Amino acid sequence: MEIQELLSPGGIKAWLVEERAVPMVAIRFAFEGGSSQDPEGREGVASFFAAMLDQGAGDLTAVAFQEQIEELAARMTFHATKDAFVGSLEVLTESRREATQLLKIALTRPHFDPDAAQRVGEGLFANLASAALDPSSVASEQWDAVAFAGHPYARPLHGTYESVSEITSADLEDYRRRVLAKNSLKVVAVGDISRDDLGVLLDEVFGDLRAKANLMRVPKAGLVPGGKQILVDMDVPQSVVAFGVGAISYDDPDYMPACVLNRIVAGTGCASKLREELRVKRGFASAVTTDITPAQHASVIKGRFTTRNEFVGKSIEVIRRTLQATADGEVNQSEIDNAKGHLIGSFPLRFDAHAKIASQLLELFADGLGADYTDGRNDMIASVAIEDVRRVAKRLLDPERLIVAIAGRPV
Amino acid sequence: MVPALEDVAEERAGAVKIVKLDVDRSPIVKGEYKIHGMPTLILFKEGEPVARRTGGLVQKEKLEEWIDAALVLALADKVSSVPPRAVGFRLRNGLEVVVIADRRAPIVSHMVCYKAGAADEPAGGSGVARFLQQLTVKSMDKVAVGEFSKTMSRLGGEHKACATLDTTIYYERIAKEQLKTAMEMEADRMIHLYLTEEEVSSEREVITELRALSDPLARLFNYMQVAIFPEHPYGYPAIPLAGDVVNVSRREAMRFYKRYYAPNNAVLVVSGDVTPEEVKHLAEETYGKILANPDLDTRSRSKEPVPSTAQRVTLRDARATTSTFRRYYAVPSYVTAKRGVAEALEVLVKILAGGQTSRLYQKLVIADRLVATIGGGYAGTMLKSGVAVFHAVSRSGAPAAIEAAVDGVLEDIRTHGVTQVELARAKKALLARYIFDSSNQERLTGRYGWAVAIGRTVDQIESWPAAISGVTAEDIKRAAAEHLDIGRSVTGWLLPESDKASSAQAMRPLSRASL
Repeated sequence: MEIQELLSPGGIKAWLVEERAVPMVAIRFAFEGGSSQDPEGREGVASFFAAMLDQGAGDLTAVAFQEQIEELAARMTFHATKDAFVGSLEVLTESRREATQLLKIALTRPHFDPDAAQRVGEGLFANLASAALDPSSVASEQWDAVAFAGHPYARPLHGTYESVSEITSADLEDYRRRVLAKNSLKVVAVGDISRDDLGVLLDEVFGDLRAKANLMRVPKAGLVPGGKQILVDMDVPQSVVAFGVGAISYDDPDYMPACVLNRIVAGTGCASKLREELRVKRGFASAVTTDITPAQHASVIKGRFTTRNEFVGKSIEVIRRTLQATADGEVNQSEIDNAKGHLIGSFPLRFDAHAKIASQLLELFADGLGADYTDGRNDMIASVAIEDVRRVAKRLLDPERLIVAIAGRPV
Repeated sequence: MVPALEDVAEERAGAVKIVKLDVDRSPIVKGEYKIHGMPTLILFKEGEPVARRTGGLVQKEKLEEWIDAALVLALADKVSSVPPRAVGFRLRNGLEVVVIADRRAPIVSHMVCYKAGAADEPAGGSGVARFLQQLTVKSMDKVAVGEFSKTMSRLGGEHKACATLDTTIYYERIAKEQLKTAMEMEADRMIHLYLTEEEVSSEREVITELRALSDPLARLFNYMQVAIFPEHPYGYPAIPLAGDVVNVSRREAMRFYKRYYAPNNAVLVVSGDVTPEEVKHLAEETYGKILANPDLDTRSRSKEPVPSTAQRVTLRDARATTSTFRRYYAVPSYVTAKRGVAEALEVLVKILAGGQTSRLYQKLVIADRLVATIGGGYAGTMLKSGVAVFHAVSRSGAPAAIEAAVDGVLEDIRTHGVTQVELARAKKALLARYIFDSSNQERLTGRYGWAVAIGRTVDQIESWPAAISGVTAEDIKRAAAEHLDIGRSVTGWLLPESDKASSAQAMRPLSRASL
């Protein structure tokens, strides 16, 4: 996979993977500043805005806009993360020109028509209602609220009933003007398009946006010190437990050892310390996962498992003990080899579909990594030694700093 | 220019350019395009002539129909020629193999599909197909308990498995260097399963517990499936109803395994950075060593599943916050349908329920504001029946009003059919999905695996785009009238326990009129 870096004639930064076998292109782009740009008391603006962009723009009503999208058989979606506003377009080569026109008017001349807003708002309320019943969402959101108290990251990505009810069309337009600008934009394209054609397309779609974004400053987020545990009471047969500590970001020399460590502790699959302790030895939980999330303003290593209410306390105790043992150096070479094998072998699996490639690359691009990162990444993993992992374990896995959020009814 | 041409030129300015040429003054053009009669219409797309006809077309509708049909056909041609294409062959022990060379990433997908599912279970449906699928992930003779997952994990591969009514699949995606390992392990699963009583009973507990947790929607779907296929193996639920799975014994699981997990009852699909020759060689070294099961019977699907009265299932559950509607119609599948009918159903359901421009969305979400969401799909890859599904989540509408509106939309299509614009849009969307899926290795692999397992050929799979583009408005009207028959349907509702909290309307609306 060859990644070309380019700057459009109008100055828009992009990465391109030319792939001509299938007559389609997948384009994914991110503007810096996601829900962390939501005004105080209007949490959910970024998400609301994302949901409104395909609801009419330019001369097209919501219905006409959808008809055009479907006539072109294009897929256009938008969503917000805590750090970015993200859009995606998948389109057949033969409809590329028309689809990019639609994307352009969606970004530059969206309508925030009351009927559509009402409909979209009801959809958002329904999502909030079902998330409130889902112990996984509740535990995860509460973990953020506790861990990042006082920082925009503590606020819910999709807002609350109260905050979403307060959102007006002026808030949405204000968000568009502040966030959608050329200097905070990064684009990745994968598929049937040449470098020159992509340059033209970028200027056509994004050229009319403002030169500079006007973002609220978001400080670095430190986790609350000293650890914490909170419980949200929910009437469910099994509790969901979210747990985690602070981690490190890409720019830290210990980032790759930290990835290997994450995999040894739990990661995405089996053959991990926590799975062995919680599932195999004790049958407390059928699965336990952890993940390093290096967001723009904070990096955390965060995990999750589901367990019967009577096992919650014991399970958390097992987690603490396991983290402590790992921090004390209890890591062996075969664990290191298995974890590295997995990280190296699974890396190419992320790059097998146009849309997946675009989304993976955009993450790297948005995180400030170079286009050559994918070439060197597996060598960096391969060179991680057991001392590196022990060092980073000692540095990160302090059970005293563990933050735990439980959604359920532990007994 | 005749008025019809002028109208079309004006209405479709930007999309279609209409140029009139006097061939008597341009003999070169006349010769080059072999124009013998007048008027001759030639439609060009990207510089290439894609359709032509001589005479007629003075009616605007006919002209538009001709243009749309030609454009969709041109797209279908292109879609059909999109690489990658598959190659199929068969090993001596009967294993069917399909290889799709796709060099875009240094990885391979490996899928084994057994022609056995819940509908092949002993009468009554014991849940053994799915139970066995979960057990085989745990234990194999050469591969110790749990080793399969551990090995895949160490190699960085992904794996999944699932059992449906007709088919059980095992799927791995892994770096291409590891294809042999995946094949060795999967071949081992085909012949060397070894189950202890202890493993069987511990897995039974896991499943029993999972079922206790299963959400109310899953329960509703289960009951609906049983209702729509009474007295037919498809009425054996894929997720067994209470009381079933706990009775599956080790012996029964082994009996099912020995009968169905055999090379002459399986399809192997490998896609990715490999050649058919490489796959053939590896397959002979692994699966090729396994003997065919000589006692394999033809599959029994006793009766054609045709319920004759409308069925109804209603569940109330405290966890439900809104009212959820679902309707199934038993319709032909790609296997049972007469030529072209499955494709017509595919396009019909797309027009009815695919996306925000669909008939149901426009009526129930936009115009009547009865429901918050509505959608649907056509499941056509089953041996003995297909299912058309429609589903909605209530906004403010009472169940009776929602059902009446859905029935009204369906009746309108039965009576009046669909427009050319709808037809062209739906076909294009389906063809585009085919292309998008071609860019995704897992979907590409699944496209062949699921279909070959029910007896479709590689040619049929790859000519699907052409078959879709051949669907006419008349085919759709007929399919709607013949197959969306309430007598062959089941209607399901999941309702909150109390009627008060029954819809999204109970939630606070947006406070600002300015929005």
